[in-house]
Amino acid sequence: MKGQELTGLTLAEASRLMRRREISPTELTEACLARISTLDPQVNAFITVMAEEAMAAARLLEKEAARGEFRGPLHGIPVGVKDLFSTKGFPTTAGSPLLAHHISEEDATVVARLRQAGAVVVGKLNLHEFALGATSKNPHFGPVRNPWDLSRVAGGSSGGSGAAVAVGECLAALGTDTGGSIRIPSSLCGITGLKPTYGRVSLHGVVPLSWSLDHVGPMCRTAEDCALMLEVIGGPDERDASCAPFPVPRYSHQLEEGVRGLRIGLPREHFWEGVDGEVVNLVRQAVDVLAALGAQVREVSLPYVDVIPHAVVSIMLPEAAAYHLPRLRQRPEAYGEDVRLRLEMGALMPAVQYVQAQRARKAIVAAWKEVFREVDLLATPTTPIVAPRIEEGDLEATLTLIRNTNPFNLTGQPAISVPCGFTSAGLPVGLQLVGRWWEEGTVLRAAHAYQQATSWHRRLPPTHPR
Amino acid sequence: MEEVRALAQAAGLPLPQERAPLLAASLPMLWLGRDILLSLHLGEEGPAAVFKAPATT
Repeated sequence: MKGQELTGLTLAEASRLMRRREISPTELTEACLARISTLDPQVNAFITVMAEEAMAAARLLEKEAARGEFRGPLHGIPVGVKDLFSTKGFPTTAGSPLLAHHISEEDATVVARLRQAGAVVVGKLNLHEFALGATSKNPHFGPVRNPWDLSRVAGGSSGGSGAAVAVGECLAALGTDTGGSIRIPSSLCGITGLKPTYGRVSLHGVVPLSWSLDHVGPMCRTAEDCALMLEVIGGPDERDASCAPFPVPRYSHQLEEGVRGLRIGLPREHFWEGVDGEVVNLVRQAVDVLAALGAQVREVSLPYVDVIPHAVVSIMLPEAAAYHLPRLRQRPEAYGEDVRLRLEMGALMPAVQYVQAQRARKAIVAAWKEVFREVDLLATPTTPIVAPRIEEGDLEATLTLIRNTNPFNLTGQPAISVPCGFTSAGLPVGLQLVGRWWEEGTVLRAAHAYQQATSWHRRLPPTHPR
Repeated sequence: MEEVRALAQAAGLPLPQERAPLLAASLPMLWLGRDILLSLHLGEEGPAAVFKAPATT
């Protein structure tokens, strides 16, 4: 199998070939590293490439495979991690010069779990500075470019993760999502990204943006791949008090259950306002596919939906400012203009506003739990627009891009973005499916059913010379 | 503008002259959010349960 064919595989496909010894960990890792050498000067998805360490890990895993020892589905799979995750012996920059020389002393819990499961970490991925934005136009490390149109953003804040998976520089990646930062770049780059339930995945060893809104999750080509990744990274962690104490289900065993009988709600308000016409059409067509597979589709109203953007800002900015204030006082000029302004806004916000937002959050969760007695999933466009051009204003782009994703950071529900078509300009569009708390299995099985019936997730960007 | 300078001083933030207008222009959005949140009828309960993971699935 040629390098380009190898890097076009899904994680699950590569895993099956690995088991049959038709491909090897070194072969696959070499192919991804070659891909990084060829394409990353254009895409700019990586901040640090860990070539030597990755090849050493791959050789070790190859020896294990030769003895018939496989650690699981991730054995020998090259993965990238957003540069917010501590990675022992390497810098974790968070996309900022402030942390550029900070060498991590240990792996983040999820990085350790990936390595234990046999994944090969190939490098640290570019992002919006400190994850505080949705475009990944990083003023210090350069913008991550969208593989479908290099003049456009990859989305953010996990833009490097989205772009790297899309072009096959790695077969899966870790992202974080505080207002949509997994789902937005997944949508804009044409891949599949899952934000699990708040508390499902440990945040230990991850540079925080907003403790009560931060989520860690997988970014891959398919829902099946996301299931395999979540089975490894999810579950209790005594080093993270926000992490739930119960074990992770075997999501990959539920994938074939289909959507027959599932009740899918289409929100009447908010999620369709200001949405590009082509995006509306493609998402509606995707819902029709789910209906044809046996899902029941109905409209629903979500209480408080207009309050949510204000509640998110009123929580995210002061929590971020609390973390950054010492550095913001000492070296404000070291922050990019957009991030500095957002942190300053957070520092000036009255405490009563933060507390009121958290009280509103509790009321919203209670009200939406009632809605989820009537439906099993919500379906919405992931983003109202396709990838903006790099030169467009960051604030406007960010406010538009997070509009449909940030409600579920506030409620903490699991939400996935799956590719559901392309605009006439050839840019990918994402369908967002949202489930009940702790029911990632339902989200993944619906996304998998959709991907079994369609081929949008198979399409590779033009920078992928296949 | 004076309000911004006073708030920044209270927070211990360095605010060069040229940045004050930028921040001042952004604050009305925050105050709008504050007023909307304060207008909600949320009873007497606090927010504590938001941070607790449930005991069971």
